[in-house]
Amino acid sequence: MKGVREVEGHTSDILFKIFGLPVTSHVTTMWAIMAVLFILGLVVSRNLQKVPGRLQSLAEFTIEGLLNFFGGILGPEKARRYFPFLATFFLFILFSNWSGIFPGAGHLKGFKPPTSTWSVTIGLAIVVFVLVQVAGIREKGLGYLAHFIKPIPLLLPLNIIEELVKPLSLSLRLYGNIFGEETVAAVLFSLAPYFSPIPMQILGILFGFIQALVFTTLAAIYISTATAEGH
Amino acid sequence: MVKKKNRPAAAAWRVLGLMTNVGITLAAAVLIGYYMGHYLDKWLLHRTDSWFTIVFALFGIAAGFRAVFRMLNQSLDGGGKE
Repeated sequence: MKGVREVEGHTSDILFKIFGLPVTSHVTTMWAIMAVLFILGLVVSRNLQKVPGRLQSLAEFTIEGLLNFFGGILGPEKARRYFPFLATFFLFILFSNWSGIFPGAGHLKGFKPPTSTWSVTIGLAIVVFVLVQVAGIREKGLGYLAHFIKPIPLLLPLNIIEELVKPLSLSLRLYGNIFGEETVAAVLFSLAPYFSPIPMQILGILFGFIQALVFTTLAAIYISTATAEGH
Repeated sequence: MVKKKNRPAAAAWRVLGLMTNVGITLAAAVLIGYYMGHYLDKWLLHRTDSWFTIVFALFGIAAGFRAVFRMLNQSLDGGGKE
């Protein structure tokens, strides 16, 4: 594990410690994103107008679009039930991915896109994993646990591995994409500082959006398979 | 307009998500199987890389293929569960 930590630059990146827990640049950026999302939510929901202003219509467009989108995967009723979770995840991952586009990300102290480290993405994926299990048990009762020993009990290890693969692949894909993109941008920047990273930044906007949406889409698919009738 | 546009989009993203997950899933399943076996060996047999490792690595490979097969099936039968 030490190797991974060194590659990610964890050891040299500790800014300060809280109760003995090291706080890295990823964590401080994450706090900033959380604050931005929180304040945005507060500002938008504080004074809702019948005729929405610019910010409110943007928020309404986002929320409605996401609700329709998840409705297409989960069905309208379940989409509504799991919407707060999925939409929060989408927005957080989107902002995290896009935070890498700002000049100085990855170079300044205390400013690194959180999703470019595996620790953050595996954390997100574990939350998804727990939610999927809870959703399965809540919607189908013990019948959900029975699917682990379904066609025959001998397949129990196989089913467990299959279930554990989901969070691992989910986190690795997000981490790999964002970390890779950041690295390429950094290399381009060191080769020719002024204009060469721009195409990569534009691609970064696109990829950041795609990865955020794919992450939440897969989370929704996992929820829908865990809660589906009949299986 | 938003509604009409988003239905097929959700299905497309579904397929994209599932399809691009195939490679990682296959690799991750083998890894998880191997490490499960590795730690079971340490814990139960008190030695490394013995029977559990072999069996669980095979389990991992099988689970990987089954997960991929299931994902392809899932992406083929389209989105939009009502």
